[in-house]
Amino acid sequence: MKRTGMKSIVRFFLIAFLALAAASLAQPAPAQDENLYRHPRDMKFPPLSFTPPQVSRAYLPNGITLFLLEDPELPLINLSLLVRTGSIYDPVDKVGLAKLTAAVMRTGGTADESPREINEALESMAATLEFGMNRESGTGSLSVQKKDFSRALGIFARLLMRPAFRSEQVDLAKKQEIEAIRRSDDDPEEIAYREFRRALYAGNPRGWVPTLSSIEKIQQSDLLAFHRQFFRPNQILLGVSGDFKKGEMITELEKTFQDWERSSSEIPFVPSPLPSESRAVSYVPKDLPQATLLLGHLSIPLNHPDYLPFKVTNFILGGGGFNSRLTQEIRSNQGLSYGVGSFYQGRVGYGVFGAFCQTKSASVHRALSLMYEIIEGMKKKKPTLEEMEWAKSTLINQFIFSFVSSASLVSQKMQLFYDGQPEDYLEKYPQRLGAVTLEDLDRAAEKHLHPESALLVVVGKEENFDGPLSSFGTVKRIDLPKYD
Amino acid sequence: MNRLRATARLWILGTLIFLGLLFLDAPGIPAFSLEERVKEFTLENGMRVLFLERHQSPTMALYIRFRVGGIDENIGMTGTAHLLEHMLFKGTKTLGTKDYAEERKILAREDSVNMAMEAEKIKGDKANPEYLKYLQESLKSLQEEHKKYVVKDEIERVYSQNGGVGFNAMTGADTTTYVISLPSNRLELWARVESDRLLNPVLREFYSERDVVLEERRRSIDSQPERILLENFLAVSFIAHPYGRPIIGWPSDVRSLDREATERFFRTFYSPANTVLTIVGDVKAEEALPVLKRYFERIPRQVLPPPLRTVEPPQPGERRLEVLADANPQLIIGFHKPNPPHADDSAMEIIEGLLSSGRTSRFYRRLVEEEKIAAEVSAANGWPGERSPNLFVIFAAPRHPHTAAELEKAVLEELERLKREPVSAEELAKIKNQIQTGFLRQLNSNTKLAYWLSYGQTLFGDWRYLVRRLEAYEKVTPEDIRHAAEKYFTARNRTVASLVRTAEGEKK
Repeated sequence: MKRTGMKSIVRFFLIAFLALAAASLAQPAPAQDENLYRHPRDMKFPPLSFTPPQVSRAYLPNGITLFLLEDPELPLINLSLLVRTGSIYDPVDKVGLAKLTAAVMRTGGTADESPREINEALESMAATLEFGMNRESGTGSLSVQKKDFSRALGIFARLLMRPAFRSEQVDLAKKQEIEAIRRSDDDPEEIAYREFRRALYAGNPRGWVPTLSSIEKIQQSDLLAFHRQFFRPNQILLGVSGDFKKGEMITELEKTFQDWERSSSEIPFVPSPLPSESRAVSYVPKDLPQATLLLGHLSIPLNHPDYLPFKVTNFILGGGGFNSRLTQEIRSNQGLSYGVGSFYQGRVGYGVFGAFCQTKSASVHRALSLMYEIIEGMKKKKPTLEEMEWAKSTLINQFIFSFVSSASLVSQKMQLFYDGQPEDYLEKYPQRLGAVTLEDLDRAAEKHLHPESALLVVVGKEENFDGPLSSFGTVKRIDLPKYD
Repeated sequence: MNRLRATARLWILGTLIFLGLLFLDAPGIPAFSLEERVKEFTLENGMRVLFLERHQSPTMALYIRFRVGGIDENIGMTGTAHLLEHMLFKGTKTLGTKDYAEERKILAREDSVNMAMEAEKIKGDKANPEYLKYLQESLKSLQEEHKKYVVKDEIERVYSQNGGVGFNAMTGADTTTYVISLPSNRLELWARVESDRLLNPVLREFYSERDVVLEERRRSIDSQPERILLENFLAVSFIAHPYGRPIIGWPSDVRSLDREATERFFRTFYSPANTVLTIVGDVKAEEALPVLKRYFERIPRQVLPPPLRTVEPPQPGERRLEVLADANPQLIIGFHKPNPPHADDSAMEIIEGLLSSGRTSRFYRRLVEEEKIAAEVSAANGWPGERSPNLFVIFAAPRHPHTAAELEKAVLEELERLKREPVSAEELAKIKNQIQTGFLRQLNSNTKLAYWLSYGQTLFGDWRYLVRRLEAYEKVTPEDIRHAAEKYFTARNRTVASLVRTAEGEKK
């Protein structure tokens, strides 16, 4: 996730480049020609100055939280929606309900408008409108030309507030979802991430996966009930960017959503997943020339004091591209993989750390051994000052790209608000990142990297591997379901 | 972090191509005139430079596009353009090395060991395994020794520390593109690094990178049945033109590519006359141009290689093929057609929209919503490139228990309908509006603008082609559509590829 900053950015950039600016003042004109043969690491650049755009926040009387950013460059308006819901609220016997609800909100019409009328209206305006469902949030989006905004907003609002979930569209969405489940085993990466989630979140709704029977059980009434429970104004963040005037926009939104009543019921609490102690291997046999490897464990949440240090640690380990340790050794030095690296995602209440690699069957054992060794190596061969400076300067200097699009800036602000981050989170981000020390990194690696108890998922053909999977833990074989 | 996979681009090309349009005085849309805003220059050596200023953030997108791609490779050398693209990330005589003079001696020894290895391997069964093993170990120890002199991935390090994002490259059938976005005060850094990459490239770590590309192939094609289907579909569709060859290369070719031949390919095709530099963002052309001249004019002018002369002969009859795999059924149907600027290409572009753009499209409405026989179905005009006559392609996945044959029949009926019934004015207006608005949505992004400007300039010699193309779409009539459907959607001109689940797969 990218982060955004506000006013302090200007100051931050001035600080970052002040020293360089002073240097180039000292030796004025010919500096540029000398650059011609200078090594890039010694090149000097003029300072950047930038006043980032301000996203305003406002509330409608029924509790909708608005995020607005005017951007008149093009005659377009973009809406984006975040809803406090998610597939973690799926009933245990109807896994897939949340996702179907979002899908059929879009396709199932309203009381007065058929699905076909809605599609024709939207597509004649060349508007795009979608709803979606993540594990821990619901989403929505509308993109439309300014001249058609009011008409498209009306459709968006009616679908959001009062979707009809017409039964023929519920039936179609179920059929499409069942087909998607049948096809999901055609892609080894999809299999690996699914089995990783199932093992990582065992015993928690985050690890539930839809099945043909869980989808078949879902009825139109379930969608209506799910929508009624979660899609309420006081559980909704709405972002708007594009060519409009803020005051007029707030008035129009207030009018559009005025009949929508807030809900008094609380969103149910879903506990965070619990870490597993045992080192287990999930092996999914599939006859492929290349194996997909994914290992990892639960990690620290977004608001943990070690969040940023661990983020930098992961960057050095495998999140930072070609110069990170996993990529440099396994891809660049050994030529064992095209896609290898690691990730860390801090979420509300928990986090996930993982490392991935794809390699030909004959080098699976070697690649896996290297992965464990390099992860463990973060504790033995501690990050150097050079590695830390590379990681920090990259993350800090890339920060300006949070501002390249008004729509994405609004989305970032909404996500931070959704995750309960402090108001000045962005403003403080570069400074906080800048303050990370080598001791922080050592502590983060020591405390938060646990390859010894990581889960491992392997999709491939073990007969062709260069060593047994059992050397990495107790192997549990998972046979893919066969459908008629 | 992935360099965009060679063929991955193919999947998006079809959907993106129609966005390469622009309305100058479109009714209803305030003019967003590229004509007034794009500034173009030619450097002394023939390189073209395009600028477009946007000041929304202090950033810029930087694209270098070369008119060279998979179709410029000779037989036996497939994958060269793509492997070269990987190799140009490995540095120069000053970037990525601690001591180039020492380093080059080792690189030369690596090459001779590799040559000996190739000479032995070609003997097949008669090759001496002991000798091969010895050579492999020699190469390994040379690679080990070489590491002493290498500064790993220094170009990427320099860029990322300077705030670069999206550092990548894409090899297509038609063009190869090197891309990055940087804070806008870093233009000179980019000019320094990129001109050096073109003047003094060093293809170090060649043999390990070749292994990386083989892993890339296993990942993006050999482990994905639908990609195997596509590769075979193209190979059967084109029997003469190199559009039938995989951009990433056939495994046997890639395995035997060497450094010397790859360098020769570089020297032949990366000529300034084949090069377009595109800069979109918070940069003033008059300030940036002197910087670019200083760095890029060091690259000498060079004659262009002769153009590809192979023309795909007319298809004399329907071609059908199957790919067996342990996977769910898929279907690809293709028809040969002319490439732009032929007028029929515009009609085919509109047909793509009629068939598969959105939930009111003919395919979605009939095959997904009403008959429920398709899980997915889409059409794409202009595969796998646009430098030569290409294909109109339909991708479809039947929904169980419906079969690929059922779906094929229904798809072909929809194509027949285009020949019979004239398209209504409303339906045509809807597609044209979608194309126009889709283009508008591209215009608030430095990277998308840089993508399309460099595309138009490289492929058609003038970025304004994007504008002309949009105007051409606007002029398409119902009769043009009927005519094009009749001319190209014929059984004789058709290739049908089907992914069939193996009996063995079913047992598993």
